[in-house]
Amino acid sequence: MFVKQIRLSSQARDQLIRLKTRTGIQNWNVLCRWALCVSLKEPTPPTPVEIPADSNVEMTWETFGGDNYELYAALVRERCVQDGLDPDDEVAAAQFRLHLHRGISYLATPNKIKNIGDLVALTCEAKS
Amino acid sequence: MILEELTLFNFCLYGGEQVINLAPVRRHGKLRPVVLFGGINGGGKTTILDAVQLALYGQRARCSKRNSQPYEQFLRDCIHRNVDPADGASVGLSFRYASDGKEHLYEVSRRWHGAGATVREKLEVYRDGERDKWLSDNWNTVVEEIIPIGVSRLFFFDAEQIRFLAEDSSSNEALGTAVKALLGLDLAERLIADSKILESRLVKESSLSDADSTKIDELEQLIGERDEATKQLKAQLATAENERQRAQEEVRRAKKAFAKVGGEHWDKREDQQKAANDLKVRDAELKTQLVQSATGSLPISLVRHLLEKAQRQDASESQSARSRVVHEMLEDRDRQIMESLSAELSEAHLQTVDEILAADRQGRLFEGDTSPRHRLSDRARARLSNLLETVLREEKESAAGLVEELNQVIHDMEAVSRSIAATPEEDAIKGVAETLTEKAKEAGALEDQVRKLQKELDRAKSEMESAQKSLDSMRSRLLKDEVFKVEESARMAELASKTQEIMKQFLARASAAKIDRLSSYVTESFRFLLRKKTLVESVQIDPESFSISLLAADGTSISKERLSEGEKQIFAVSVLWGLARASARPLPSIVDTPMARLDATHRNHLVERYFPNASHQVIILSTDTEVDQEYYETLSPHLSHAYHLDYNEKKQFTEATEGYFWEAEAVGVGSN
Repeated sequence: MFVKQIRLSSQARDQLIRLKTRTGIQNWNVLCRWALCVSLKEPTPPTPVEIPADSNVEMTWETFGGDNYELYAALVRERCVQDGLDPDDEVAAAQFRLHLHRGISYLATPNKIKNIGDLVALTCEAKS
Repeated sequence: MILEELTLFNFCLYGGEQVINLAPVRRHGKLRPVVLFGGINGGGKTTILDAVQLALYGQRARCSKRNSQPYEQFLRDCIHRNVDPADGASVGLSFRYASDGKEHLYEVSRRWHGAGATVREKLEVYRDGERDKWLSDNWNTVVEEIIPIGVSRLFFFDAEQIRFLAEDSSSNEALGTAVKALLGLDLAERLIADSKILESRLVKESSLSDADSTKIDELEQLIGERDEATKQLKAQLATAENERQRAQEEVRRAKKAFAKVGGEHWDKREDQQKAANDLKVRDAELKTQLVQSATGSLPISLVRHLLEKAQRQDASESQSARSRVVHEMLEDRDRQIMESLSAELSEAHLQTVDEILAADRQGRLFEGDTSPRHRLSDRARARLSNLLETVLREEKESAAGLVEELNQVIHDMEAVSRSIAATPEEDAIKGVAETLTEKAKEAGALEDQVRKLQKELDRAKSEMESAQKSLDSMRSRLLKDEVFKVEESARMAELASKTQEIMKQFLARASAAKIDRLSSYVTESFRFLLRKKTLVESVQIDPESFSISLLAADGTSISKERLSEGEKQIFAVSVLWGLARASARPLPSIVDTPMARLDATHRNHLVERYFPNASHQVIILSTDTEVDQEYYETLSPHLSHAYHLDYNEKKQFTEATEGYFWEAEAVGVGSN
């Protein structure tokens, strides 16, 4: 895998704590999966910014992806290709980090997700 | 009957003694029936009407300003303001009335003065100028013979207040009595009753067996008891009915108060609380289930398109890997072939074979050679196709169902919590709710009581009737058996029973005929006075109940409620006019404020058609806008004389002067 360990920024951590209370989802990794997919879905590429790894929230790639860990990596690489980037490990790792944090911020937007229903309903919007 | 003179002494607005001539005059041999009084509001018009009624009926008179005042208090208030109550006041009325085939002049004088707390009233009646003590003492009975108070209401009226005739059904009884009296039907009824009394007297006087006389006594006693019981029950029923109506009104009020403090929410509070709890439980369940589904592969359905791309890429990678393996194997084999052929073939041939093999290998090479990107394990590959084929769709569908239900539950919870928020505190509602229950119980009990009393009344009545029947049949049997033994009594008994027979027949036929005539008179009057000629085809009066109904041309009945206020007034006037015309007694009419509510057409009709023809004596109390200059001209051929009721600010009392508004002014200038 192009990423072995994931360590979140402290801002992302705070946002995830809020999301935990709102959605009732207790696991960091589950919320991170949603965040990644939400960002990948956005048509625009993420803005390349420096993201500090200054929190104590850390997980392995396998923890993050669960049963689908290989597939999440594939999704990131496909997105790199879609954005015209060479999907080598270094690029993919950087893009993953950007998408993950953009997704977390997006979900943490005030009034965007008020309960678990709102989160799951994102997939309903995807249908139309 | 003709009203001659009204004398007012210190009565209400009228200070001092004022004599008003009411008798219509004849001019050139033609009777001019209309006597007109003109006065502005508060000028004393209605006082004239009150004075006539007070003189005739005293305590029983329905005077406009009395309301529920005690009679003595009312009399005291009627003494002119600027006079010492000890001096007193009086009203006097003289009229001509024919009885026993001879016309007499009656004078009724009622005077009273208030000394201290008590008011003393004195009534004196003169006949043909001589004081008649018997008449004075029995005036209340005598006046009922001349003009019963129930009838007077239909002849001396405030036009604003007679609309009751066109409104409620409770007026039927009053109307019935008046109609019977006016049409002379009461005489026949009284004759029947009298001959029954005669019969019973005859039976009593005859020599009866003990058994028979005991039986008669028993029956009479029973009838008496039941009659008494009926009266009592009627009174009780009326009281209970009043109570019931009051209780129902209170229930209505209590309900209103209950609703105002949020009673409906209170009634539903337990259901609401339960619903709220159920919803809360369901909400928690749904959320747990949603967290569960969020933990699966659900987020990936957001980027299904990327997953599809990955699958295609992976497929290409595999194919290209496989073709590279094949290519290498073929190269090995071709190299061996070339080695074994190199000894046997010429250089040129070798060259050709090598080219053929190379072309063959090139042709088998996978065209879209792809550099490996994902390097998926077999397990991941299987999972990927599983997701795309079924899992993503299924998870998404079940999640959508859960979300929908959750939204519904949240919506319901909001509604319920709004309703719970509107529920009043127990302290606030407890008293109101208890009052409501209490009042409803009370109303229910009273309703039961009314029903019970009604039943008892019906039973008492039917018992009385059946006792009466057996008494009647027993009497007629006894009359045959016993009374006829004595010659003189026999003749009387025979006459009495014949009289009853004949009078009953007479009553039946006369009622039918007279009611028919009355109906047609009322119809005629109504159609004569009403502007809409086609509205009513006929007016029907029921000979039994005296209820009045209006029929349209096609025979359907028209509800009286559908008449306008003005039409109701015209209708009431028509009924009175029809009665007056059908009546056997020519009585004078007094009409107060006759046209306040009417439009121009109806006013014209009243002035041109009704007033000149209403009676042989028509006294009209009018304001200057009702009978105005134009109508005055119209009326003048029928006008006997007019009075102007003018409040004199200086003397602080109303004076009745001859003349009408504008004519009085002309006279006034001359006399000043």
